[in-house]
Amino acid sequence: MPRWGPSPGAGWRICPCCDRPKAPDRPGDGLRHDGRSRCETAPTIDYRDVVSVWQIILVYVVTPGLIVTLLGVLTVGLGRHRTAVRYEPGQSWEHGDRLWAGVTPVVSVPVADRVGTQLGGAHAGW
Amino acid sequence: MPGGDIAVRRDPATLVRVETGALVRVVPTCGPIGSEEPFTPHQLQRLDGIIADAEHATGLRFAAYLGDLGEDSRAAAEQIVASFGEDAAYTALVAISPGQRIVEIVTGTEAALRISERGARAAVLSVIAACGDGDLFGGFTNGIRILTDHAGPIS
Repeated sequence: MPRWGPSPGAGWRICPCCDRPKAPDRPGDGLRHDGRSRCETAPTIDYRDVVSVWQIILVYVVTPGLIVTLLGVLTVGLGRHRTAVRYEPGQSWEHGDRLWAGVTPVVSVPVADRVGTQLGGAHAGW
Repeated sequence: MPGGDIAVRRDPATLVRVETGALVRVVPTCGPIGSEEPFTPHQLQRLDGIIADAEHATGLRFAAYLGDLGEDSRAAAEQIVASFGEDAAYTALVAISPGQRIVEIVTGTEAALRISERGARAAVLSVIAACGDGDLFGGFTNGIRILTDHAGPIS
């Protein structure tokens, strides 16, 4: 009896399934009198329109999967051709020449009243 | 820009400077400019920053070359430096030829007064250590940073 909440009052009726008192009908509060369920089945929530299992799978599985796949293709697939050329020591180098340089204006600073006349540098191989 | 199977012209004097943002990318006047870039955009951005920082700190012109240097690698590297015109005397070039497995560092006449041969050798050793591991980008960054340290700040 306490499971049914407040004490029975006006408008209450006896459930034909279990002979227990039932509160007045409220919207969305129904009992399943299908012969196998009990009265305490919770209030049911129904879709306004009937939704099939395949529609649920479409909404919750297929659509997110397509979105994730699209993002993956955009992230990985399109950037694949932009990957750097991998250099393996000892192998030939068949790629175009590249030269990068800065654009900062050169600052001419006299070095101890000397004037450079020779190029400098070093070289080595591996 | 020509591309495809056109033979690469190895004369560095024919390089054309094309400004792309802060970094000047110099490309051969002819030759295959394929879609395969040696470095990723992120690496190019970092290289841009490293070169810009080095130039701001030292007042010199820094350049990085990646490609074939021909039979006389030293002469080819010096030609690249000469292609900078008025800035050639203040230019420090790090040139890497992966096919030949050669590293050339050339400093202009004025830059050579700031960067000693010892400093250039130290930079070369750092570059070949990185290139020996297949890290061309690391070779450039290490070499430029060491040259920057040896050149010192603008006094």
